[in-house]
Amino acid sequence: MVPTFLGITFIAFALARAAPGHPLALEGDAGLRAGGNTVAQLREYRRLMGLDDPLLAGYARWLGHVVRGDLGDSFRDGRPVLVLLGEALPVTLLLSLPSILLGYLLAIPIGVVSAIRPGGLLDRVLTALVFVLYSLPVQWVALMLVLAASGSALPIQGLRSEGTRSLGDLLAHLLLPIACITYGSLAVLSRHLRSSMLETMGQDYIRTARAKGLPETAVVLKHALPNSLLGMITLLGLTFPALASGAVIVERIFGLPGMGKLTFDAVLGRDLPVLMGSITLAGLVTMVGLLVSDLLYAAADPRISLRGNPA
Amino acid sequence: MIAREHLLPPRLEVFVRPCLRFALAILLASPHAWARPPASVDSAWEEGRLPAGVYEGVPARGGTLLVRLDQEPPSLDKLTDSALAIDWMLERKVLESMAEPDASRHPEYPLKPALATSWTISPDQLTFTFHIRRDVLWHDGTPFSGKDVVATVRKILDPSVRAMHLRNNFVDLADISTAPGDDFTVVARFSKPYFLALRALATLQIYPAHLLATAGDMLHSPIHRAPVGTGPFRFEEWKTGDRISFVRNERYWGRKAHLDRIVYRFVPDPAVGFQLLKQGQFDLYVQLQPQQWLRDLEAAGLKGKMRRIKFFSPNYNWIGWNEQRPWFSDPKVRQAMNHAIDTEAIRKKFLLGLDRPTTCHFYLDSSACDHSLSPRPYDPARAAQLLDEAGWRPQAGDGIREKDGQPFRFTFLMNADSVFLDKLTPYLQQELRKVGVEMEIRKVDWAHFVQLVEEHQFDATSLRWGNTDVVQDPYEIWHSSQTKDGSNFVFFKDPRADELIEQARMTLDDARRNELYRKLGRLLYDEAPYTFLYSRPSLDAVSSRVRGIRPSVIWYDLRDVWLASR
Repeated sequence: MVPTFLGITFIAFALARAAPGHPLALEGDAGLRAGGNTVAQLREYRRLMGLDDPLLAGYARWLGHVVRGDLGDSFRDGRPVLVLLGEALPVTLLLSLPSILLGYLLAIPIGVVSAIRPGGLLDRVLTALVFVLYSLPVQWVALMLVLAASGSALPIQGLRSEGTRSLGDLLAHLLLPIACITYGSLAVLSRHLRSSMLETMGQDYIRTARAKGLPETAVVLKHALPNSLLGMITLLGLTFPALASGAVIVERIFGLPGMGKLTFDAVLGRDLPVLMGSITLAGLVTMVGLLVSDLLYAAADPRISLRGNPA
Repeated sequence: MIAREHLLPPRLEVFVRPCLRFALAILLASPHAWARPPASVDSAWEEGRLPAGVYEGVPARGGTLLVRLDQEPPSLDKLTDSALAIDWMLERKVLESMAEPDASRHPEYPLKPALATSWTISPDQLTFTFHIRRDVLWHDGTPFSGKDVVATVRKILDPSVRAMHLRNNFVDLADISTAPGDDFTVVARFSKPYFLALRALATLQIYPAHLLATAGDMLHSPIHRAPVGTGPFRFEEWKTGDRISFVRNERYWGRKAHLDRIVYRFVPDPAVGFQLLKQGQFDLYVQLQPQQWLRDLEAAGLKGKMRRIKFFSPNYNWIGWNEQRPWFSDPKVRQAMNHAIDTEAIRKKFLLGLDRPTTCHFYLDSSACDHSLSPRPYDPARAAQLLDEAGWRPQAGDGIREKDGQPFRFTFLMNADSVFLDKLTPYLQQELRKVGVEMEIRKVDWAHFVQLVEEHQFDATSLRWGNTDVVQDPYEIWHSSQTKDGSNFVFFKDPRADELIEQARMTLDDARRNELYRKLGRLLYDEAPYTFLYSRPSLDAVSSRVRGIRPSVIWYDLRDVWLASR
């Protein structure tokens, strides 16, 4: 894992440093203010920010700080990157965890139902539905939801109303963003489960189960489904990066200060420490995600052992 | 899967939508809407002026003013950041200066006393003496004195502080200190006479010396995000990504503010912001999109509830022609470019006719502008003639002009985020093709764009200059010395312009200086280093319950604002 971590962060560091452009505070509109930034001023800025050091020296210094638990300070607002991540990550987790959970809860029944009678009416309707959802652009859906909700009492901006700390208020704020992040994932998850269900349904042991007179529900739910879920574990591992990397469009439209906004602003403003911080976090979470899905495999499938092959 | 959203190129996600809406706006607009509406009882609404009733009545105390801003500033620190939103939120509201531009005297904005009661200028115009108020307290209760002024200037001059944007004003400052034995007299001595020296120093927002002492580079100090000032409002809270609020300073030295509280909410998405406006969540909505201002407000039934404000602050768009490039070294070619572009059609089609045409580097209402210079008319024949005269002759075959074997084929560099340039550049391409000039378009992101422009790595480009004061020095943009490290991106070098600019810098008399600037304006008009385009209005809306609000180049002065009970 250590070489992977070094690889991820070094490539990210080199790319971020190589990107052309000045680390500038984001301006509200695309206009410069006279007296704002002259070349001499920007040069001084680069010096103050340590951007003129050689690449390897810069990376080594960054790594040295990281090992001591210091991700540096943002170029943009001077605050420690750890503080910024600490503000943004909970917001993102509030969106991504329920969204992943909801995605699986909805996709599994859809996949199972589709696989029972492939090509049947229900299968075709559900397939069409999830693909329509998959192909809807999220910025459009989000805006439509905002327009639809703006006449109602449902909040469309931010995480909390002013002056309240109730859970209900928080959930109301999260409803639309979570819906936006979730709907597109249904197609991939349910189609994946459907195909792996179909493969399982053709196996000998399913025929055996039917032959011994088990009711079809028991065949599907007790024999076919558990064996088809293995593939979903892989997908779970792959969804882990989304857990911490945030959703740029959804966060922007609904005014949620999560990881997506933080990272996106850092890219536009060439805010190297923040960018490196969020890449490091996403990298770590991804590596942990892959590890967890490997462990889940071992737990779920007795044929896979982490101790190596005893033969 | 869940990560699907991240696969899209991020730029597209954020900026496609406004472009689409803008295109839609043009498609939907009916032709009669371009025509100027007849003068009616609604002229205030049509023109975006506030009616006289806004200033009538007895101010009532209390209430919270809810303001929508589209961008969250990086900090609340004027010393390290130059974001406009910081000026809006802090200047004259939270932080104060020794003197301030008088917003009631548009468009001159002369200085009027604030933290200083008066000031004197020495006969050689090098020494300024400010007499400071004695009854002022910082928000934390510490008494204010001239030492705070001195400490603020010293902080700006400290090379470890990211205050480059302010330091420029004090290059020629020889010394600043309080008078011996008198902390309430500040004496500043400059080594050269400079017309902006007094104004820059007098309008500098003052920070508390006792907190600056431990603030280091400012970036890690509490006052970087939680300013302590002397103004009528004091900082209350910053909820990152959401809102910043200020409350009335009950110990304010002057007339106390009417409002209890001001809350600025950051809503980046214009469509979402407009929905919140419809829900009645804002008293002051800053930066509506042209379409929203022109039509949507009325269509949403907000005409009685909100008032429209259209105001021009000092800014203008321009297209710059890099004079180092072979195509644009000749003023005739640059004039031809002006004639080849139908700026009036662009203004009406792409900008809904809201922007004002300008030919002047200075604030368009200011007497530094020669108002007799009107934009060069659209005249492709004249453009072709000028190009011929300059030696660029059309070649047989593709019809592209050539001179000394060099085809007239250049690249227009643009900031990829610009909705306006997205419209303008294809049009420009098509118009220039008619006169035998081929233009390619290159789009890069803002941070990269700024770097390329500053390094003169472009043939032609377009940008907007903006300023928060009507008084400004064209030195950095037009003096030949500023082609190196300044903002003379187009490599405009003219000894006549240099002399006018240098002379103006030493002319403290406004009328005489404006005369020099009008001469400079005529020179720029003839030499045409830029194609001057338009000044963009601020398009805002304010609730009809808000009283005493007055737009000005120094934004809204919320000290005088009160809320009428409905």
